[in-house]
Amino acid sequence: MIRRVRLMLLVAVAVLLQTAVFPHLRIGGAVPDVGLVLVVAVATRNGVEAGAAMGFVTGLLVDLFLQTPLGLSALAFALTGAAVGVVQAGLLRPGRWVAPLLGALGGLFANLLFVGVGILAGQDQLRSVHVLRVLGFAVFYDALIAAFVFPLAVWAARPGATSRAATAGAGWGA
Amino acid sequence: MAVYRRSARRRSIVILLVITSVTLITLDQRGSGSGVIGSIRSGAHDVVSPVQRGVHDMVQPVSDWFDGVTSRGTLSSDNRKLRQQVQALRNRVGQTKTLEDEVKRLRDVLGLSSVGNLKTVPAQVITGAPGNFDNTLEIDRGTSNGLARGMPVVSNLGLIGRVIDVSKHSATVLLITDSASNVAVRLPASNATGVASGHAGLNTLSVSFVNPDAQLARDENVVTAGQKDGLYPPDIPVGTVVSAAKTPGANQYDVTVRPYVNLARVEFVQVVRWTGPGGAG
Repeated sequence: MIRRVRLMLLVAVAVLLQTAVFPHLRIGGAVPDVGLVLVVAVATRNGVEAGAAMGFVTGLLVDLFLQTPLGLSALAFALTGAAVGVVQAGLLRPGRWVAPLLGALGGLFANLLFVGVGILAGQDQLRSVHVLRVLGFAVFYDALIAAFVFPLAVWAARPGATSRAATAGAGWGA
Repeated sequence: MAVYRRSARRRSIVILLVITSVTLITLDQRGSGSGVIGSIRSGAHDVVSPVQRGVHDMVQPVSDWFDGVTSRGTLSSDNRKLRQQVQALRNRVGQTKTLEDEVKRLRDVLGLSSVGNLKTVPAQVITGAPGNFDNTLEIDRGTSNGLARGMPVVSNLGLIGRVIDVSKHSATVLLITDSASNVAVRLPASNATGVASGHAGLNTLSVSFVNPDAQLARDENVVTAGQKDGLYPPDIPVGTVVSAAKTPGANQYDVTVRPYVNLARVEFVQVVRWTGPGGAG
């Protein structure tokens, strides 16, 4: 319960940062996707279900402030969370490079999904080669902020006192 | 068995979330941003806009510094160009005043409107777009100040965009450099017309459908065409031509225009209270 409250607080802060602070730090048309990196971090720590659910909620909140259809970021973030959850379960070992690497890969995967599904949903403005340039900057930004977001997500996603015994030792950063 | 159950549960959660997302996308697309989803969006903007205003006031000095660092390479050449432009513009002010009076007289005679005699609402930019693929601005005026969807937004230098979403105390402006923006434009010197559109991540506009027989010149002015059923009133300055090339065999020019307004650094804007024939929506 406490873990959920911590995570929801973190999501709210991430959405506020995304809508109020990061638009001031635009480079090459891209802004840091703090909500997305948070989803990647939680999926890395807690697996597929938590990653997908967290991705859906965070994406939906971010969607409220975008011009693209509501649900597009929710879909991209949820699938990214699920994919990262699958990867962490089978492939990754803890290490310093994991956060920026997963931040970059998550950013690339989510943005490609966002653009691909957006085009299918009739968002013709995404059908441009210039989108790739923005995507490059976005991936770089996501890798950069992952180093700061991952420790916060690990703190928020750690089990509460009652469930600690059951989940001790599981996942990245445990 | 337990592993199989857990894996089936994961799959069903992901499938459920995908179906919900696709349903929401479809509903929003069909509703074109209005209805319940439009109201939720508008409410979310109203909740966040006070925070955005507060953050804007706090981070503006940092943001200015950041802008200075990221555009340091172009600042000195921009400065030099601007000094030359100031000198040239000073020389033209006198001529323009005479022409302005003449145009005003002729417009009065013909019963035409222009931005010069339309009411405007001043507004401050509080933040930019939160996403990677949107080129929008958030301003601190909304329906409570008389703003409506479709109203053009200008600065003292020229066209910025138009209002595409409005809540009680804030509004979202789609910039002319957004790839979803299309502006019918006119090039008065060569008497050509075209449609100016933006591209994600670029600060220039591409003008298409320009007659290949037109004699375009570099630095030629581009203004809104103000066509029937158009989104903008006529003759709002848009930018200048930076390049115009004709590909052999092509039946139109490939024209690039630099907007007069530096959209990355705009602070104050004027919302024109005009929702012409094609303006609303």
